[in-house]
Amino acid sequence: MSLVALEDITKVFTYGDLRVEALKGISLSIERGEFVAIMGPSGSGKSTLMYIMGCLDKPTSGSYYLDGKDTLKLSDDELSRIRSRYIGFVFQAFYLVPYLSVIDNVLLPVSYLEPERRKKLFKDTTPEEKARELLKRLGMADRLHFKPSQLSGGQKQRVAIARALINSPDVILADEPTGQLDSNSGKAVMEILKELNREGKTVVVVTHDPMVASYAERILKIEDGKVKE
Amino acid sequence: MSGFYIKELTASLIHSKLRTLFALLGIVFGVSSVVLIVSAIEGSNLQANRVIKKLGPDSVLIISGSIGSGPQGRTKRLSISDFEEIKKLEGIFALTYGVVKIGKVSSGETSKFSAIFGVGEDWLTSWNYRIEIGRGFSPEDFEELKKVAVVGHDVSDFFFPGENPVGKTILVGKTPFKIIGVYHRKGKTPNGHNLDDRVFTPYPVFDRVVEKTFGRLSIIRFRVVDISNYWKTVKEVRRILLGRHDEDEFTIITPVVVRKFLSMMSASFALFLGVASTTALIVGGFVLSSIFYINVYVRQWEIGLRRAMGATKRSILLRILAESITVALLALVPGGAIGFFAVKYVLPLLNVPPVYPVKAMVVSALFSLGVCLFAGYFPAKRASSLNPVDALRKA
Repeated sequence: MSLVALEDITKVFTYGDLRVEALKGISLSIERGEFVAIMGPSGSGKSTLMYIMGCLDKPTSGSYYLDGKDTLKLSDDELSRIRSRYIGFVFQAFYLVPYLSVIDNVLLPVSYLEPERRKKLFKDTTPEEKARELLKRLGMADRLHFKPSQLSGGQKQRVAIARALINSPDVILADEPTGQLDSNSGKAVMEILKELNREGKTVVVVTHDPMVASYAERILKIEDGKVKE
Repeated sequence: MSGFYIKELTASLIHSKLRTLFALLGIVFGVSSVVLIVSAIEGSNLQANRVIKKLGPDSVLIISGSIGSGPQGRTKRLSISDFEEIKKLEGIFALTYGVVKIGKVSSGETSKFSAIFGVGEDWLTSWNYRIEIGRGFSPEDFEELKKVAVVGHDVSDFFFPGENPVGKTILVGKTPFKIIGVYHRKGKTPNGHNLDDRVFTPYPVFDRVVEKTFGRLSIIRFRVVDISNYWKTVKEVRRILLGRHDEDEFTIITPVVVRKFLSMMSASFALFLGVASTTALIVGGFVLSSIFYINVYVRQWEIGLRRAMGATKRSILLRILAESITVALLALVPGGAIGFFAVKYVLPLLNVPPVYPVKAMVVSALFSLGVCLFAGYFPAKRASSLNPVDALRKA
C-alpha cells in the first residue's frame, strides 16, 4: 500500500465568474521511504498539489488515500489530527513564530498532538529532550534560546526542519525549502533532507529549482496542472 | 503541556505590547466606570434609607409649601390651628411643630448665622435630640415664656470654646437668651444641612421676640402608633388640611415620598453615570475587538501554521479567546483599583456616601468579563474559520 495515493485529482478555484483549473487530473503515488521532487514553474499548480497532499486543502474531485485512509471522507477535525500525526511541513518563508525561542518553536507542534499519540511518542523521552536532540543534530545546540530574529536564513530553516520532525511524522512536505537561502545554505538544507531520507523518512520537495530536485530519487514534473512524464 | 501553553500565550501578548496595552486600557476604563456606577447607585439608595431611618418609617411630616425648597425658604402657610386640629386625631404620638428662620446669633463681639427654631414642647424628644449638658425644655419654659435656648455644639463651641455654655447668654437677633442645654452631635442631614448649627427656642417665645409668626408654622410632625393604620391616618390628615388650605400650600412627607424624591434626584445622576459607564465598557469592548481583529489579521500566517501543525478550528478559537480573557483579567485589577479610588474620592463630591458593595462589584466584574468574551469571540471566530492555505500565503 502506498503512503500517498492520489487518483485523478482536480482543483478548481472560482473567483466570481472566473474559473481557474489549478490541477487537471493528477494521479500519483509515493511509497514509504521515497524522496520525491515535484517540479514545475510557478503557477503550475505544484503548491496546490502539496497543500492537498498535506491535507490542508481538499481537491475538487478525485480521490486521495493517505496511509490507506480516504482523506476526502474525513472531517476538518480529523484532518487536523492526520496532519499532526503524518505530516511535517517545511515552508519557503520558514514561518518561525517570532516571539518564541528556538526550542519553543520546535516544541509548538507537540501541543497539537493527540494525547495517546503523545504518550506513545514520548514514552522514553520528553518533548524538551527530543527537541534538544533534534536541534543538536541540526547544529543548533548552542542557539536553543535565541529568538528567530537572531538567526540566519539557513539556521531558521534548520529550526523549521527540527519542528517538522518533532512529532515523528511519516512524511516531510517541503515547499521551496531553499527559496530564501543562498546556495551554500540551500545545499546544506538539502543535505539534511537527504540524510533524513536515507534514515527512512519519506520526503517530498516542491521546487522549481533543478539543483534542489537533483537530490530526489524521483522527479515529477508538473505543467499546467498535469503530470508531465 | 499547559505550562507551555501559558508561557507561549504570555509571550505572544508581550510580543505585541502596544496592542495589548491599548486593549487593556479600553477595558480598564470600562471596568472602573462600571465599579463607580454600581457604587454610586448603591450609595444613593443607602442615602435614601438613611433619610427614612432618621425620619422614622412611622412618621408623618407636614411642611408648608412644596418639597425641595428647604425649610427656611418656604412661605409659612401651616398654622397653630392646623396643629390643634391634627391633635384631635387618635392613634398618633410625638406630635410637634416648629418654625424656622436663618438669623444672626451673637455673644459679645462675635456673631454668626444659624438656623433658629421656634418649636413645640415635644420637638427635641420627637426628633431624637439627646441632651448632653444641661436640660431640655420644660412646660414652664412655655407657660412662663422664658427666653431659654437649647443649642448644638457648633453654636456653643463657637461662642464658648472650652467653657460650659449652660447658663451663658447669647443674643438671638437683639434678644438675650439663656442657654439651658446642649445636645449630642448629630452630624449632617443626608442632603448636607448641619444639624449641629441650630438654636432651639420655645415657639411662643420665638413668636414674641424673634419673629412675629402670626400663628404660622413651617413644620408639623407626628408618628403613628399602629403602623397598619399609617395610610388611613395620612388620608385623614390630608382631608383635614384640604378643608383648611389649597392643595399647594402644604406637602405631606412620608417615607415613600422621601424615597421618591431622593430617587428622582439620584435617578438623573444614575442615568448619566449608567450611560457613561456602559458606553465606556462597550467602547472598551470595541477597542478590544478591533485590536484582536488586527492581531488576527497580522498573524494570519501564524494561524495557518498552527493549523498545518494540526491545530483544530476549536483550538484556534480557544487560543484567541484565551488571549482576550487574559487581557480582561489583567484589566480587572487596575480597573477595579481606579474604580475604588473614584468611589472614595469622587462620590463624596457628589454628596453620595461612598459604599463598596462587594456583591455588586463581583457582578460588574463578571459583566466586564462577559463583554470581553463577547468582544473577543468575533475575531477568534474569524481566526478559526480562516482557510489555512490562504492564511499561509499571507505572510
